[in-house]
Amino acid sequence: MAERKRAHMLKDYLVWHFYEKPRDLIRVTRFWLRALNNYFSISILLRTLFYPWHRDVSTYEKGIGISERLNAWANNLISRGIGTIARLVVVLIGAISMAAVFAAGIIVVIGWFFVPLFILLIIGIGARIL
Amino acid sequence: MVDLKKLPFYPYILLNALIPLAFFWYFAEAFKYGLVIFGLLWFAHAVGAFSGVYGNGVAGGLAILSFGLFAFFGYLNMFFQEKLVLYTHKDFVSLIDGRKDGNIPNLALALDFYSATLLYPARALNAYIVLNRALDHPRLSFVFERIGIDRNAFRAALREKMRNVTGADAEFLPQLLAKAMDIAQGHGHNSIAVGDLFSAAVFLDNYLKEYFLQVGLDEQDIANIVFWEETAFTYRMPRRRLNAHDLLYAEGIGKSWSYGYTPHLDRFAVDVRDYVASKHPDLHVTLRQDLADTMAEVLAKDSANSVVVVGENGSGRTELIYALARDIREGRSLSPLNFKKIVLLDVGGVIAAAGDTENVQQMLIVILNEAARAGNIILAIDNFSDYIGTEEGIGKVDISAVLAPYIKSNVLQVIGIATFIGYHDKIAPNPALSGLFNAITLPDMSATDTIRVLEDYVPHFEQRYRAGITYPVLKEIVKRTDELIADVPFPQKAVSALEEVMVSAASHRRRIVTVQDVDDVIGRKAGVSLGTLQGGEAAKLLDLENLLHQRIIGQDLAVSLIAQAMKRGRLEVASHKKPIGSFLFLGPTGVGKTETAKALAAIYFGAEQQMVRLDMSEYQQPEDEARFIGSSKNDLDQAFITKVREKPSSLILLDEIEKAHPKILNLFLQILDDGRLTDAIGRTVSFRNTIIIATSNAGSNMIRQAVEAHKDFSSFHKELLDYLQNQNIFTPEFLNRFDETVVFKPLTKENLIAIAQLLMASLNDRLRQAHDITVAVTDDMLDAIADIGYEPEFGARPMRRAIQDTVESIVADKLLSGKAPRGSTLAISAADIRAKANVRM
Repeated sequence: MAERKRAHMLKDYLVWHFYEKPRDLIRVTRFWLRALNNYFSISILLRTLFYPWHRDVSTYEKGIGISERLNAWANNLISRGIGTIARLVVVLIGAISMAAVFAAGIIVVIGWFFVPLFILLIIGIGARIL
Repeated sequence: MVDLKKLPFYPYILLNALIPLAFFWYFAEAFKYGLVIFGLLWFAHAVGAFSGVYGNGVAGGLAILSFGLFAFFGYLNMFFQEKLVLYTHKDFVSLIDGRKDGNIPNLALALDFYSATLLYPARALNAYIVLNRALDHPRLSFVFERIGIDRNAFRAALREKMRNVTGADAEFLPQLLAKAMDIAQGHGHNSIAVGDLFSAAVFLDNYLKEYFLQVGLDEQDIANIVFWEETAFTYRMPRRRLNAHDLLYAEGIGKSWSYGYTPHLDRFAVDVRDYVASKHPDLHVTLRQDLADTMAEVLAKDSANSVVVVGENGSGRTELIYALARDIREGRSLSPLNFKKIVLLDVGGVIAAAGDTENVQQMLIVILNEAARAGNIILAIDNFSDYIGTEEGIGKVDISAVLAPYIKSNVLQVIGIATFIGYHDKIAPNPALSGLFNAITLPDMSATDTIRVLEDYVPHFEQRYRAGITYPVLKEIVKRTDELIADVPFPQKAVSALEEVMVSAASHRRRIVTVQDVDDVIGRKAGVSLGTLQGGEAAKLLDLENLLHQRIIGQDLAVSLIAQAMKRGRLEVASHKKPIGSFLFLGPTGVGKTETAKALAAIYFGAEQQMVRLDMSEYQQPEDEARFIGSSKNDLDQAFITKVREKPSSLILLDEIEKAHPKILNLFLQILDDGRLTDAIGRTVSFRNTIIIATSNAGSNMIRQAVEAHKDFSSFHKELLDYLQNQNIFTPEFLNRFDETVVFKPLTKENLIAIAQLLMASLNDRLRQAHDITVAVTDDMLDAIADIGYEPEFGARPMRRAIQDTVESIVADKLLSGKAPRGSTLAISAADIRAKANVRM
């Protein structure tokens, strides 16, 4: 009975260490990536990349002169330009954060497999120093 | 069937029995501290801060070893936690279905790890053994605090029970788990948790039920407290600084960049989320999710997508909008709505800033244009009906004409907040707005939901007033405010009451709020005496018959019936859905029916003035229904139902009830049955704290004849009722609704003399106070007064007049002629009295 108990728990442990925990760590990494995508609004900003900044557009009526028309056109171009630059900056920062998290996730997942060895190593070093 | 061995984590249960798995966590923590200590020592040694026994190597080695052991135990702890704590049975639902189909599945499979450890070993278990094991579980501390009993006392009681109860009941464990499964399912779990076991044990065991009844809690309350603990636990979980969950639902950067600026709007509007969060920082509970979803569906449409939320002030309309706003801002609502803002526009502020009507309209146009152009604004307007319609007055402006075009052309969405009256009078009939707004009506919040709202406020109030609140206190608040405060809805009246109770407790420097505190505060507010009967009041109730007889002469049977009904009502043995007592007084005029009602009002409600009196002969036409329940807002103020709304604890006296129109009598059927009536605009008024007395002279002749024939009154009673029904004076349904039909007998000579005695005593009191004289009361004198003061058509009513005309006259003469010096006792003969009476006639 004791043998069966231990084998049962051993099997549970192996499954946990080599499958369940890495799977969960990958899930957490994906969750963080989603959260960062939301926080930096990357999808939305890319979709609205060239929209005017805060809908700040100059409109003009039909019969006005060329210079007013050009004026309005320039204003709108600037508004879109500001919007595009601001959005690109945020998208860039967001992308870098996501890349960092992705890299960290890979390191953690791979490192996880070696955690038991690492623990034994540390204990061994500590004992040896003593 | 219950077989723990089949559980997938059974080996861990056995391991836990040997070494509690919590120890892994303790060891990890211990080595963590070891790491810190030795690490500091090592560092100190390395920088030469001190040298000594613990040389560099030793400190360093211990530090590294501590770290390794910390990591080791931490790693194992992580394994056990994830394997066990997070375990849920994948087929919980199929276990429940299996039971329903009559199969006998292994109920143990529904247990979570902690509950399973409580049940191991599973030999000879009963409720007391299980609970004794469960008592130290950390999650149950909250439950015991909120129940309000001492855990150690409970433990002692359990141990006593465990000693006395021997012999195993094989059915106990399957029954316990079956009940626990139902509770778990009701709470939305996928497995049986410790709290579910606790609730189930209370449901199944009578001793436990009675134990908790001591603090006024039944088994459903215990289950509710366990549920409270679960909700509170979720929100009390420690939040780490960098929380992905927060990021996922945060507004983040850049979402509002494609929407327009709104400088003018921002001057007069505030985000609903900020507004509600400032009033109620802990708002978590989302009741009425179905209404929020309906609102979202309407707002997400392409057209006709504005809403009016209709409900009384204090029924939670703004909180409902807040719940929706929170979902929308976190991107969890329907996609056309996601990431929009709901802002509360202060129209009053606009009016104040603008000055005159034309300016108001211009400013509004600017604001509405901004909101429309911004693209992500939903406007909410409180007291919406105040700004609709052409009433003249300060602060009254009609914005419907300005608003309508924006809504019609689907460039702007509005959420209006209105009361029932406001909606029916102003918004619904308005042609400009008809068809543009969908009405969402808030039904009255139930008592159970109100308790959950109060639970939400508890942390905030406890911190502020530094006193603890138990569940019985919350239950009592909801119960008493439901009974006694009719003109404010839930949850507002309960929340206000809770705060007042907390303030009172804080001012008395109490650490724990009790049910008596609640009764004192709310009773004071409503002018009613509540709570456990204290010395004076208990004596009053027991002595009620005598107290009534002090004012009412004769009518022993009547007084006895009334006293019994009152005792039942006050001790709440009777159903609390009806009025405290309802009586039909039958009998000739002037025999004490009204006097009885006045006496009862004085004794029970503290003053004769706590009475609402109606002369039912004024309600003989069908149109008179309007004066009863009102027909529109204007009539409502004078209507009878409003008087009761304002005085929910009073005695209602209906004179000559047989004269009322049948339509009105039908309204009374509702009141007598259900204790409630709905007024003309749909608000309910509670009659549950009133005493209703209807009087009638119908059948008086029959009563008189029965007395003269010395009939037995218990059988005559039925004869009288039959007569009344046969003559179509009252319908059977009407008569049956009363708690008692009381027959008042005509007064006998002895009664009259006794009344005369009472009235003379009252006269003597007045004379003593005013002139320090008294009148000697003799039997002859009383006899004379009784003769003069009685007339068959008017009963004893003329007696007061008779005394006035005779005795008081004579006394006045004597006073004026100096024959009544202070301190003297005047002698007035019967002959003088009769002579005076003849003169008058």
